Parts: sequence; structure tokens; C-alpha cells
Amino acid sequence: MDFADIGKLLTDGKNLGGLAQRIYFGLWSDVATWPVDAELPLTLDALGSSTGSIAMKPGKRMFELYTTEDAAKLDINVIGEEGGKGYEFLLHVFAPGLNKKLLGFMNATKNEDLVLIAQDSAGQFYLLGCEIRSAKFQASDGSGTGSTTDGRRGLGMTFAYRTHSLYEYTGTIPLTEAVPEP
Amino acid sequence: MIWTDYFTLVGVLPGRIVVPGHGTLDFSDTSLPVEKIRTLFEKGFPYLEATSLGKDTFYLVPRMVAVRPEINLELALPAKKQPRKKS
Repeated sequence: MDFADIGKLLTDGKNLGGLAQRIYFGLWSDVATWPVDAELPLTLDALGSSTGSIAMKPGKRMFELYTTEDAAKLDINVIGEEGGKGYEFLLHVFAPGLNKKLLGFMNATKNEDLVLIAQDSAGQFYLLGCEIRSAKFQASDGSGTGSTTDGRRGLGMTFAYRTHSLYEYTGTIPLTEAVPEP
Repeated sequence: MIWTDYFTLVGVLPGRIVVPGHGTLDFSDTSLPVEKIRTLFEKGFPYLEATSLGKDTFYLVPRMVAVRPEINLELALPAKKQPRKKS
């Protein structure tokens, strides 16, 4: 590993917070191949990015979930004891309304192994899930009808994923079904 | 000419794919610019392959050189037309 100087790494001063208004989700068991850790990560840049894309099994694909503006965020927490440090991603989203499709989504995912991808306001993507560990539905925050007429109905959901390293995801997200290779 | 003459989608049905840096592209849309598709292919986009026409149009010379490194690239390329001198 070669360390390097780190300056103010903002492109044209851009550094808007928050997440894009859509996240991507799928079943962990539907993923055929996963990105891999960079080989010989000799630079800090290489150590901060995974290589490759997720690819789905035939007949499977990733899906979109709309989230209310400024109601989604990705927290990165350090976990573990000394000598065993790692990270936990917490992805919070708020899907407005209590449409039966949304209720069904929560019912279907609450005990399921998931893969999720979020995009921040700078355009970077983050993958929650890897070959050995899935993302999980962890909590519901602010779900329900709201208590006043200036509140809002909807489902607030938090998904958690634990990992040894933080990576930017640079691969593609297939929203169309995979087919067998000829 | 449309991009599907030069490249073909493999491994997925024609449809939407999120491509970092390019947004969400709908590969069932044959009006996507050929140059954009070519750029993705050359950057290692996992769901594209060049058709025979695509290989001949964009990659013929490199392929010849790869197969027969003894080929003189300058001789293999078509000669540039010299502008006519005005008399």
C-alpha cells in the first residue's frame, strides 16, 4: 500500500448532500456474480472502489424504489472491537403513500436477504450486499399515516449491511431481465 | 445506420440499464447514438458485443495486427488522399 497526499477533493466545489430519489433493490439470491475487491490495491484510489458489476441470474433483474426528496440517506458507521473493525451501511428511505404495492414490498422484504444500490447527489453509487453477506431490513422509521394533516403517510425503512471495506460501486445496474449466455 | 447494426446486447433482454456516468439507458431504443454505445463497449460494458459490421467498421486494423503482427500498419491502412494542387 502506497499512501498519498489527500487535498480538497471536490470537483468544481460540488458537494451536495443527500441521495437520489430512487434506490435499486433485488433479491440477494438472484445475483449471479458480484463485483470483486481490487487486486493489488497499491493506491488509495484502488482501495476505495470495487471492480466489475453485479449480474443477475437468468430471468431476474434489479428494481427501482422511489423515495421522497431529502428523506433518504446513507449512514456509514464503524463497528467491531479493536482488531476487528468493519463498517455498517444504514440506508434510510421513505416511500410516500400507503399503496398496497408498498405494503407488499415491506411484507416481502422484512425477513429477506437483499441487495440494494443507492446513488448520492454527486452521482456516486454504493452497493449494499456482496457474495458472502446480504443487506437486511432492519427497522421502520416514521411509517404510518402521520398524526396531523400537515404530516405525511408512507413507509420509512432502514436497511443494514455489514462489510469489511467501503467501496464506490462503479458497475452497472440491470433493470432488464438477464438471459442465458449463448 | 443504427447502433444495433454495429453492436448487440448480450446477457440481458433489451431494456433499461443504469450506467454510472451516463444515467439510465434504454437499450430497446435503437436511436441511441452509435458513438455512445461504442464508448461503453470500449470501456468494458458487460452487456455489449460488436457485430461483424461493428468489428469491420471500428476494429478491423487492430484485429489484423493482433493476428498478424508482421503487418505494416501504414501499408494496411488506406492511403490518405492528397489534395490536388491547383495549377
